[in-house]
Amino acid sequence: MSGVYSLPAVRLMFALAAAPGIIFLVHVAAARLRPRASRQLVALQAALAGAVPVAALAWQVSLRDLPAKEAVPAGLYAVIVYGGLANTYFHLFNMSETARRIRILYEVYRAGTLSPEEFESLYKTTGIIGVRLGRLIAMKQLRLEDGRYAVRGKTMLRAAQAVVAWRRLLGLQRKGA
Amino acid sequence: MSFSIFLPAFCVFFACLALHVLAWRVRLSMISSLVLVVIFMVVPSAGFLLIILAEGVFPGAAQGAAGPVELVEIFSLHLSLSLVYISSYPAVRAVSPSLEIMLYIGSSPERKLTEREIAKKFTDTTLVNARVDDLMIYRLLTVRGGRYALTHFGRFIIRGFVFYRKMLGLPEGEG
Repeated sequence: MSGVYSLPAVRLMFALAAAPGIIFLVHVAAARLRPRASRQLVALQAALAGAVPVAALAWQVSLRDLPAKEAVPAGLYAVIVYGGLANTYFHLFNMSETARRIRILYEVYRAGTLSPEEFESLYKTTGIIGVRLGRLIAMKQLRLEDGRYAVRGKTMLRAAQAVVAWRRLLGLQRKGA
Repeated sequence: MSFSIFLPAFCVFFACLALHVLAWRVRLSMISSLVLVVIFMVVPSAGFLLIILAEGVFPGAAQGAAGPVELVEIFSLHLSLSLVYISSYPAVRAVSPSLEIMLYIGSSPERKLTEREIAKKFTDTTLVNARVDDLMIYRLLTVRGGRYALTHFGRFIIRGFVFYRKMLGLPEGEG
């Protein structure tokens, strides 16, 4: 088995397997250094910045030992796998930050038990919308003009349109809905 | 490592995606998250294991297939693409208020709306009650004596998130 572990391709996979842990450590540092910045932007930046130590590790344990002919596909493989892991890490953080299901579980966890009435008073639609409008402004996707919200960045709008199109393909949403 | 691993990895991923679309079109989506994991993780894992085992038990049986290291490379590539899709899927399945807000504003005549106009488009039923129902279906939340309570699994999950946020030095998310 030691023969297999000595293969540069296998060592590259081990280096990439460390990526979520490295991104997490970068995120811990970034979140503590920039406590007032948009939390989602900090998580996104940490996921991107984590590429530097992961690339250094991949180079040290694997890529530098490969001939150029193999280094190019190995590098591309590393970029795709790292991108997938970084994206998943960001979604996991986003879930802890924005998911209503996690917030509901947290409210019940904190209180022990909750009656439906107590629950409704804790978590109202108006609060949900207000929090999201604030986040969308912090992420530069909306701007507030004379008390009205307008689209500022197109990234989230394009993502929303793509989600609607995919939902239709899956049969989860009818046309015009 | 060679470029030959990319085509099979993308083919496996897109085959799983096609199977997912087909399954959803015939309404298998009621236990969607679980079915998604089966389609993207369990089925391909079984396929890759079968090829490795076949080669181990009957050498030459999987002739023409990639070697074990290449198979792991192909599978890890497929896995990373699948993780991206599965982690993005909740936004497709449920109403995502942030995305809906962007669509409402983007499609309004003046492309500008007040908070009250936006809030009017949502109801507690779509935003909160549907999520509570989801949590009950997934057995994370239960009702005891007319009150919501966490199941053991629900407590385990939320403790994980609380610990994660503590490590980051952040308060609880606002949902």
